[in-house]
Amino acid sequence: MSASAPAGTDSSAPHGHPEEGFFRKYLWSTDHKIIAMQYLLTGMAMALIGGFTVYAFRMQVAFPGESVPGFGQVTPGAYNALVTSHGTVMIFWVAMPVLIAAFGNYLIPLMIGCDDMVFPRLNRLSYQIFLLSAVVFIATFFVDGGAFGGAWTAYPPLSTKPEYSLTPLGAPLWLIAVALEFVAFLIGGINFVTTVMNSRAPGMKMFDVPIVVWMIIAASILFMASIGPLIAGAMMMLMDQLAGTHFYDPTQGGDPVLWQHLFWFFGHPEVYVVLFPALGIVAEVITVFARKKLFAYKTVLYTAIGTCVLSFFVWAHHQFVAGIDPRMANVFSVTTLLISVPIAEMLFVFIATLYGGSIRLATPMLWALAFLVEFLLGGVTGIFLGASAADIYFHDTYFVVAHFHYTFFPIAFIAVFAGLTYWFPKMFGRMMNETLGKIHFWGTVIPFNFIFIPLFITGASGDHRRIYNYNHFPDLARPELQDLRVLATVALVVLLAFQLVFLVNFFWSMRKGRKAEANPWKANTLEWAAASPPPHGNFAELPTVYRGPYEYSVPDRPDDYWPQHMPG
Amino acid sequence: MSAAREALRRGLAAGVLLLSSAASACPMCMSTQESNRAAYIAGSLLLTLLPLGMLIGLAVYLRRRMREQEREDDAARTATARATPSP
Amino acid sequence: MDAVIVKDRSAVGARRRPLIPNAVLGMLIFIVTEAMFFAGLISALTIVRSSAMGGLWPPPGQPRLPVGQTAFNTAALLVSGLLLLFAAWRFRREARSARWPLLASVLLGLTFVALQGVEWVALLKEGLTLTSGAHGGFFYLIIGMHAAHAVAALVALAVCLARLMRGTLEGAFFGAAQAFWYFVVAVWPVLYLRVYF
Repeated sequence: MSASAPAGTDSSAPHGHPEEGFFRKYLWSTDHKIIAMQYLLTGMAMALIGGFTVYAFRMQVAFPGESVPGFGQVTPGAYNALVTSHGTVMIFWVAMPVLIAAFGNYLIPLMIGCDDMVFPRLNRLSYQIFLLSAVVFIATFFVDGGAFGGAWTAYPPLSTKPEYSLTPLGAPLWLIAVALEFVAFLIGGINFVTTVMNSRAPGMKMFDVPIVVWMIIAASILFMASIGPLIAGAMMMLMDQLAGTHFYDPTQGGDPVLWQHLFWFFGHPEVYVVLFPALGIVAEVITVFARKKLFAYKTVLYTAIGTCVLSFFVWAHHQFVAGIDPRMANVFSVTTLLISVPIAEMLFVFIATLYGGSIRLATPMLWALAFLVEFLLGGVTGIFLGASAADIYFHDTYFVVAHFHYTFFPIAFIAVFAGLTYWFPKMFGRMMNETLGKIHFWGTVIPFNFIFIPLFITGASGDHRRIYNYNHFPDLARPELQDLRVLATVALVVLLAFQLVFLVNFFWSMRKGRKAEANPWKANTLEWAAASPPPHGNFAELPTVYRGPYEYSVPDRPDDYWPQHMPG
Repeated sequence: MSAAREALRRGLAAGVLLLSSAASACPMCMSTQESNRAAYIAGSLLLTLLPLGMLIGLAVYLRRRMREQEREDDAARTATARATPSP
Repeated sequence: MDAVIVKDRSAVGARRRPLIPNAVLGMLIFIVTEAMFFAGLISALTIVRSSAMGGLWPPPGQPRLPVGQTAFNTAALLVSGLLLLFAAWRFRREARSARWPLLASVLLGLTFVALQGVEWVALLKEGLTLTSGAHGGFFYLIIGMHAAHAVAALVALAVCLARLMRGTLEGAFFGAAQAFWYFVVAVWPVLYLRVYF
């Protein structure tokens, strides 16, 4: 928390809170904006950890056996721990907290025009549990035996028996950290849904709620409906690890495939849990920078609901090679191909919104457009994997790695950068530097493609993932693919280096950027009706809503925007 | 003629779908017990349909409350309109 | 549950028009997650027992579960749920008159938990432990998780009772506590049928 976070002109706030000390204001606050900033900065710090781990193990893949600058020799155990930590951190401690918790906490009360969440103290508790989970997770690196190395999916028996995983403390601690993180988001999700249902500004009907809020709500509901079985499964795994039960031990009547069943029941909806907020952010940015009404608002909403429903029917496609019943494999193949239809439809809606708009290519818009392009590639390659026959070949190759990074990177980084650059003036009351923003944009998007297009090629040639050193496996080595592996690693290093530009821009603009007015992008939604940055209590006068959020370029109006809270 | 060919093509497609036998990626790891495989399918159905049922129930309930509230609002508004006659 | 009227008509209070009270809505969403948690446990148990050797469950040589004794516990729990419904009805008409049915409901709930505990002690003596195979593991995990939920709900109901005595019980809080106890009561017959038979 830096001192330039929302300073709060408290005297003008409806609550009239007295000035508080640093601790109560930034560390023990129940203000949804402060909690959002806590989530955001924790997520950014964890992203640095996730970035460092990927740097270390990709260097090992490209230059096997050589000492990695800044890390040292990567041992096989360390390699496994790094891969596992990278996956876990990026999904549970970067994508989830930033996309759902940070944006959700920041945007929901502002965008629906109320002063705070309905359960502010639960909100604070949610962040505290989340912080604890992050601390427990980081602690796994320093315990005896090192961090857990059984991949973020933690399949038994590798994850349940210390004699296989070689991490007697790392594995249970990893599981406890993930479980704590789930509890944090469960509390947060209950808060989000209740707030949107009960605290909308007067006049704000269901169809006047901005798409991004709906998307975060859909994601929260999806998360809460799918997390239960995984908590049950995690509890069983923890008891297997610590209490000596035999839930996943086939020699004692247990069933190891059972874990995959419970894990992926959550694991696949999780993809949509992080995708929805990203799509919502992109929708907001595109309408504002195309100065056009969002094409087919209701269709987007119904499509999101349809995707939620369908997303409960696709999870077993992760288990095509795990020996599931072919009858199930057939059904899940079909549903997996089907779910690309609503997602494609949303992308088409965004393209239709762009069509004929007066597009301004500011940094947030560049990120939003890049999201459409890159995510499309990720989605299309998913079709190959969704067909169960093709999946038997592609499974566990770098093709899978490239596919899900083409979906997850746009979600967890490209859309987040779109959102951060777009809402930065509101969050900190200052503008970000456009030049640095554009340098960062191109320096991220170009290397990103140079990382994963080579991995598509190596994967399609049959290159197995999770191999510590290809030279140890003569029949897997494929020396002719080594150049592509090196290319991917070099591109990764370039991408990581360009993130420094973002960090410099972020923290410099926070203190020294040009002052932002209340509504610098001339946007309609309610958060721009508050001051930048909004004080505690958000609005000087709580707004009333008169129209939908996307009335841009309405004919016969002097301005090309028409804020939701303006009468007449 | 083209209709006949179309029918033939459809029949062939259906035949391929129905008559082809299932291939398993890992014949060794699939359970041979029909009861176990049925239990997996039953478990999947339960986990899939239960949340949908609960959420649809909750949504219907909230929707009904919303309708009720709108009616109350309208009633209140007409009542105040009657109480304060416009000049 | 829905009888709560927003009394706070201050500037903010008047604007926030809850569809149903915040606490109740939050609890309902939480219950969805909890139901999924138990559904996960039940489907895990179903899968594991379907692959049991020779289709025998509990596995040969393992202690039987006391079906008859637990039927009595089940009855106690169900009556407790009905009493709470009655208490809620009394609460809406005349708040203080709800205290006897509420007290009876809490006591019956405590009876259920206590009798389950007695049952566990007996089973442990017979040799059914967490580590004696999947049967014991599932029994103690599922029934234990239910007991933990029951205790949490009973604490909430006891708080309700104390506040009722002092006359400070709010409808929203009572509604949320009720919803949780109804969930605990309603999920039990399902667990009973799946685990004990």
